[in-house]
Amino acid sequence: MKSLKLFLVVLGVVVINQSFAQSDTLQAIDDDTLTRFVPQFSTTIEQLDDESENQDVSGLLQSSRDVYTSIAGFNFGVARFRIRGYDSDNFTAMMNGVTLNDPEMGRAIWAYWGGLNDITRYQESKSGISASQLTFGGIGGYSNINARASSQRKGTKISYALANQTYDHRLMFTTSTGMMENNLAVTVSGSMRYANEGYVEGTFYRGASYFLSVEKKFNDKHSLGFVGYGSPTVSGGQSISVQEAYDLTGNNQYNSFWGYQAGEKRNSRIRNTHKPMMMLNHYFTLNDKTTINSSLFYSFGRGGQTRLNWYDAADPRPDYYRNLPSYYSNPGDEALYELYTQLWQTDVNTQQLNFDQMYFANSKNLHSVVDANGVKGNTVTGNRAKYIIEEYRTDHSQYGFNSTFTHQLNEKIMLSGGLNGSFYKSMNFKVMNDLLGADYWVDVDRFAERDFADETAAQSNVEVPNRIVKVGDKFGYDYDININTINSFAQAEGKTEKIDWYVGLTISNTSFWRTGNVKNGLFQDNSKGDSEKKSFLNYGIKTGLIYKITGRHLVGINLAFLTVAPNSRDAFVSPRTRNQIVDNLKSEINTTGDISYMVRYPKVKTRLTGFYTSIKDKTWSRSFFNDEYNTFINYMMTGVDQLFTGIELGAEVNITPTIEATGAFTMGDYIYNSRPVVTISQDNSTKLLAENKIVYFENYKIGGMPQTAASLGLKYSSPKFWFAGANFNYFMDAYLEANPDRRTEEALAGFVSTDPQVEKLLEQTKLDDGYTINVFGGKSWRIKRKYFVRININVNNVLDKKDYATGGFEQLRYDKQNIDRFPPKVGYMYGRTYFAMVSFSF
Amino acid sequence: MNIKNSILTLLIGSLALIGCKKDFDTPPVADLPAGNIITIDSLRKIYTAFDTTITADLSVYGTVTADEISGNLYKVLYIQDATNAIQLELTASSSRLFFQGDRVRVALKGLTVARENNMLKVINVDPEKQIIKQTKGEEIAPKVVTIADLAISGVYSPFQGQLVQLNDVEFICDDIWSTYADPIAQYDQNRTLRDTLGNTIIVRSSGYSSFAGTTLAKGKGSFVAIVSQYNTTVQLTIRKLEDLSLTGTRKIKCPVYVKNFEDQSITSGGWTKQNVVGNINWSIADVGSNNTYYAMISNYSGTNTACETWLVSPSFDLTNLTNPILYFQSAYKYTGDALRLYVTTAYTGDVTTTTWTDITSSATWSTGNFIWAGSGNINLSSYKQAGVRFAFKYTGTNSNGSTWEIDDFTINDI
Repeated sequence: MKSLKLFLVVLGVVVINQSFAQSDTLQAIDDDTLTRFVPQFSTTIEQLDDESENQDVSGLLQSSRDVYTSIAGFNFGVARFRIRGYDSDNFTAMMNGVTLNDPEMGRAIWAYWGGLNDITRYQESKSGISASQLTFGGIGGYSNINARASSQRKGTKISYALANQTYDHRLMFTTSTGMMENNLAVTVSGSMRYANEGYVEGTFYRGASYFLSVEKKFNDKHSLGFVGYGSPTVSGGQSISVQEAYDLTGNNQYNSFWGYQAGEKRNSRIRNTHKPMMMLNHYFTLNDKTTINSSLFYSFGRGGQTRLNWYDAADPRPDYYRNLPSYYSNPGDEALYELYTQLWQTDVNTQQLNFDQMYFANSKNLHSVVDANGVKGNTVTGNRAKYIIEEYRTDHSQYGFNSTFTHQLNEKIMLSGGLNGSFYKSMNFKVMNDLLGADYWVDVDRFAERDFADETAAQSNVEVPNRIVKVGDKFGYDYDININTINSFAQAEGKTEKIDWYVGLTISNTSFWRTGNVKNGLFQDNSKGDSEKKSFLNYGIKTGLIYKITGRHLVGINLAFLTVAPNSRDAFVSPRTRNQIVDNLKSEINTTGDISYMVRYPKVKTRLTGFYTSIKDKTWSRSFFNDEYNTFINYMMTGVDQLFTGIELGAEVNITPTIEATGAFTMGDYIYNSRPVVTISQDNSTKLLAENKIVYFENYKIGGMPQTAASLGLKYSSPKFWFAGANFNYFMDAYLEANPDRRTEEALAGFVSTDPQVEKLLEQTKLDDGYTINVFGGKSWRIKRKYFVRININVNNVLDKKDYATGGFEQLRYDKQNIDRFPPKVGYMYGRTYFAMVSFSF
Repeated sequence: MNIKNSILTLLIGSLALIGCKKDFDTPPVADLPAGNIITIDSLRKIYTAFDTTITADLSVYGTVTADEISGNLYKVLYIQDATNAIQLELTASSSRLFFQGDRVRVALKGLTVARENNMLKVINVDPEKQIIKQTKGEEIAPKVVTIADLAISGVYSPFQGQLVQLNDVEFICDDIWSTYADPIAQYDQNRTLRDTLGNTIIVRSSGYSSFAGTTLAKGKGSFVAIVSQYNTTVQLTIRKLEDLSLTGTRKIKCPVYVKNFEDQSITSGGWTKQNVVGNINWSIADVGSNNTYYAMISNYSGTNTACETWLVSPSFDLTNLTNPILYFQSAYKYTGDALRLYVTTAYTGDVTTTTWTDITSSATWSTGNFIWAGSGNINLSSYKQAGVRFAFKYTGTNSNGSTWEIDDFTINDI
């Protein structure tokens, strides 16, 4: 293994190159196709974490001018590669300087502006710590989409793309006037994306996008702009499953989320989001030394994710462990094992959800609810739903301002700074989406009901007990999360003959609290009303310099130290039911440094970087359903420290004027390096399952991504306006994300060091290496000097390799005597996919 | 260029650093010193005169020789090592946890070695916490012994708890038409196994076992089982029927066919009931014989009802028998027509269209008052062919009718 790494290093050094001209191939890889969402740690159907929003940031980085970053952005995304191993909440995504990261989860959700590629491709992206006049930025870097109308390329472009990925068809239209004589610039863009069934069986995609940018230049000093966009999207989800399900179906893209209903495929996990954003931008050029750009913004909208729920009925999920043959693998169960194996291999209603069966069950459950809706003597009789589809809603509204300035102090020093504020509120509740033929659902907690004799304990809303729920009604839980942030930064940067340098500072305040809108039966004292308000004062300092040994050889160093407020998503013990905040909630402490050596010749450009990043005091919380306890288990780990070290190498070489070679290589070591403390609670009980349990997590690998990756590419660009190329990408050192609970003294209790369970509990599974070969090509024509026609074709994973597991996690639920009973869930890379686009522009 | 070189060195140095493999953090876990591991033989010796609770941090390793899958054991496992074997009495079922061939460690601290009816066992074992599976698929070969070897010496059978194999054994003729246990009332039952020397041993099976309703294997051969003990009786406990290979020719010949109604079924084995007149029927009873069942018919229920009811045997092939005879027992009381016995070689499926030969007079019948009488050996030499059926015809009138009882319908070759 090590020899291979060295070999790749050597190759990387030998194949050196330059200006990786992305030209139009850039666009051919659509951002959405990179969003393979193998969730990092969502273990059950009920988990609230939004899986398909859990995206990597590769899309943001493709437009980076840095060789390594752009290659990684293009080619490593399919393997769930993360630059330097960072979570995406360490990257700041902006549009016209306004931060677009979701305040609750900390990360940018790319899908909110999906389909607007003609606009979003114009980004300024930087990876890692760097100088920026727009933001202090996270340790991962930042990206700013320039949506200003006057900056858009004048002209009109219509394109059609045919693909076989999340969608099959895309139609896009963009037109920009440029700055017109009336000092007005207008850009309009729109697109439609559609798949009746995507690459993965049972998925579908229906998306539209719109974008409007208007800018009025009043005079040389003042311009005012408006930007509004949105991307209403409805799509069917893809599951991640256990290896057994893939083996039984012979399909590594097996999707347990769909099933037949009256002969039609239906997906149980439908994402339906529309979160429009609008902003007013004021561009103020005070004089030739000073600019002030200010924005007001407002965003709102719906986020929705449907899923199945059931009451007093069998778990309908086909890959639930009791529905798989392996549940019957004990001696004596041979007949059942045979039966289930055969059914899984031949019966689609066993492999997949069986909606007809759910309808049938719902039609045979005549039931009377006494004192319905809290009205004494009110008896409601009808078919009570055993199975339903509910929609988890995360609607939001956010408004705020942003103002940045730049001032050229003197020839050598530029000052910049900014102040922004954001006032965010998310509305979280469930809505009845489909009763699947039943007459009603009763708003009680099926788990609490079993555990407590007291009837009110099970009530989701004690103020309206035994509430009858019909389609469209809110139920289950209802709470708001409020997050207010004020953020400021200042920076000085300078250039001398030998040295470029910068220094930046930031100070910010984040406060958040929960507002419960219903009184939960189990937590009557702390479920309704406002929670304690948590405030965090955070600061950061960064500095860096580039020393020019000669004009061709440069050395760069960046250093940063910053604290980051915990995400509100991780801050509440059980936000669905109560106001309780995680104990010991602290700001993360990020310390990072990198050192680079860069070579810049006309034909050869290369960069070699070593980096070291420590994140301390992270809060890690997860929620999962455990049918042993019959409830959600909330797992809250504080004091999680992570260490990221590694090297990056990028190179581009112009071998001939028409042939260009590119190479990227990274080798990292991303590990946990502390012993965090965990507290485990239940949604349906005030009792803690564990308190301040120590997790022995030092040196466990951070899972879910390859820690070593390499890419080699060749591109031929003909003077006759066509090009073709290929990339070979290799991924290694990916690990399954470890279940912390298995690494505790309590988990090992009762075992002695020689028992085989000890090693089984502690070992971390390393995934096999994988590789892809991608090819691309294109041609453009100029017609009548005015019209351009371009064709681009990309084929990814040409060899159709379907057996590369791109990530996965150990289930949080485990049987310490028999680890294999709850095997890990893994996701696989797509096989061969293509994206072909024809565009017409003038 | 010095700076350049030093930076390269730094970078390459950091590369080397990344290459270092760091060991995973490990939570504290107990060690098991060799001195804390005892053999099963030592474990058995912990019991002296009283039940003894183990307070030291001892562990014993053994291989599961019998599990709960067949249901013949419930909340019980047997483990064995090179030195001895012992029964584990569990606090919960282990039927989804431990299986024959699993090598396990039993953490003994807090457990008690107890003696119950002279059977030594470790009691109150929590299968989820105190038994830790090491490996699986490590079957232990049974020790080949004779029935005589199993005899109690002192308090215990020398093989108590162990997996043994007896060769050349067969169930006694009295038992071979019975099932292993009573699956209906779910009673444990004893059957007797005999070797070629005439030694016998009890095979005791649970009414909950999956094979409780299976008729005993009828041949002679090898028999693998666990040796258990109840007071001064040594017993064998079957793990599963696959362990029995009783297919050879018997040493002691048994009847060719016996229908003794102990399975509480009139019709099992192909018997049919037919009503020609009325709807009075044959039923199972054990009146006066307590758990020994027979077939019974009576047309009296407050008043007498006219009836003609037949009980027809399955078809027998007597071709290869040297000297076939029929034997059964009968008993009756109350005034009425006598029960009649018929034979045919051309059964049509309908008693009224079949040509029957009345052989009532060949049999000796009960003298009444429910006194059981053996029929004597009824000679079947003239029926040495296939398709032979027998039938009992019961008739009653509106004014009278006897109660008839039939048992131990036997065809033998003498």
